[in-house]
Amino acid sequence: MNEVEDVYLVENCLQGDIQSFEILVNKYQKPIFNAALRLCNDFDNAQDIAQSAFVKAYDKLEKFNPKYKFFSWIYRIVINEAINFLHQNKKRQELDDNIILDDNSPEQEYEQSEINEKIRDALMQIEPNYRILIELKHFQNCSYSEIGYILDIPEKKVKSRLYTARQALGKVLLKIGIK
Amino acid sequence: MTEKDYIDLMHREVDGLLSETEKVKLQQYLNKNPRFNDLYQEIIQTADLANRIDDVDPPLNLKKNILNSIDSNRYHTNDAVGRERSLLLDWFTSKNSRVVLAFAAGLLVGIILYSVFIIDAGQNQQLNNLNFYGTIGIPENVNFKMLDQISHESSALNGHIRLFKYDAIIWFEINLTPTTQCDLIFSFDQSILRFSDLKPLDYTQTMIDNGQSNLKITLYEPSRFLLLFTQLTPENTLLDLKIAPKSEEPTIYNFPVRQN
Repeated sequence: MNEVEDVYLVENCLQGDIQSFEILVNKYQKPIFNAALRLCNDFDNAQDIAQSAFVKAYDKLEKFNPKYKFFSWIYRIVINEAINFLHQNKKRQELDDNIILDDNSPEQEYEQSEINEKIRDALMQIEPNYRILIELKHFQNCSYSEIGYILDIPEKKVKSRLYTARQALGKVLLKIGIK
Repeated sequence: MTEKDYIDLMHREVDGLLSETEKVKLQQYLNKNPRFNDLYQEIIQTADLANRIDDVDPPLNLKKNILNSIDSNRYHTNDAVGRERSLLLDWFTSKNSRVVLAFAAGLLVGIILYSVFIIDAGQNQQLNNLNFYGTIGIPENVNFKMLDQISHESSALNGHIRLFKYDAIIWFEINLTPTTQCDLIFSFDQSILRFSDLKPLDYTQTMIDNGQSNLKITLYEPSRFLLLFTQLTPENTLLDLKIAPKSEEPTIYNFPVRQN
């Protein structure tokens, strides 16, 4: 029903109902922003990337094919935006301090934030293409076929690249002492 | 199975995609080949760690910035045009208008050329060999096609129904004249097809009831309209239509809808 709702909202947008687009933004701003954040590792840049992705999605709304999930479609856009950003800004950026954490105890928060930071760090040390695969599979829980659609590669390639991405991440996690 | 196949099983196990049989196969393999246990544990640990990163909340002004950056009038429809639109105005402003215009232009040219052909049949033999598709503006492999058509003739209802498809858009062109109140009940898999709209081609008095499992249109008088559906997933499916006039036994028609 989620996908049906999204198709309905897109159709309403195309009829001039801007509030339907606002609903879509409400629904997807968090995962889209987090995708951008995990890919570029900078809060401000992630905001720019996410904003740019939504604006582009709005401009290209007529091209949305309801055969596919709206989320997969906009995800494709944010991935492309992030890749463009990474190409233009090749050096790594430090993680911004303004990250909102869950309401745990201070010790839990510290441990969790330390692990999170190390894992984010490890992610930034693998190639962007592998990072994207980890993002799509582990953070967005996309199926192999959805990943194939988003990245425009065959499902078989998704599997083999994902396996390699996991190996690459595993090596880095071992190197930084988190495993 | 090769080593590579078992590594594939390990990754798919982490993704929760193994059947019970495959799980047993994998476990048997790991029992026989303990050195692969390390690899398996590494894959599990990596996936587990990757899953642990929490999402963060986006900045509070992200949504506001997005909405301020877009042109809210980009898809704005003309307020002077009411919900009830003529076919011409509606189709000219719709995204399918190019297809319809190409089809209409092609039909017109085809009729003119055909009439020329009839008059000059003896003198223009070479016309017989022409492939008109390229010259009348419709590419041969266009996705616009008529899937089916039926004619219904009874004391309570006469007319025809045509089913068209263009990419993920499916529509019925309905042209029916009832002599008594008549229900058209469309049943379809709502995970594959979704009813989008009814567009009158003529003045049409109908009632629409979009229920959970079907769509009911009640006709009271001669009616010409389009019924639009969106195909949500690229699967073959069946759309059933029950024509149920008040004074007659219902008739059921099946319309197969195939993916492109």
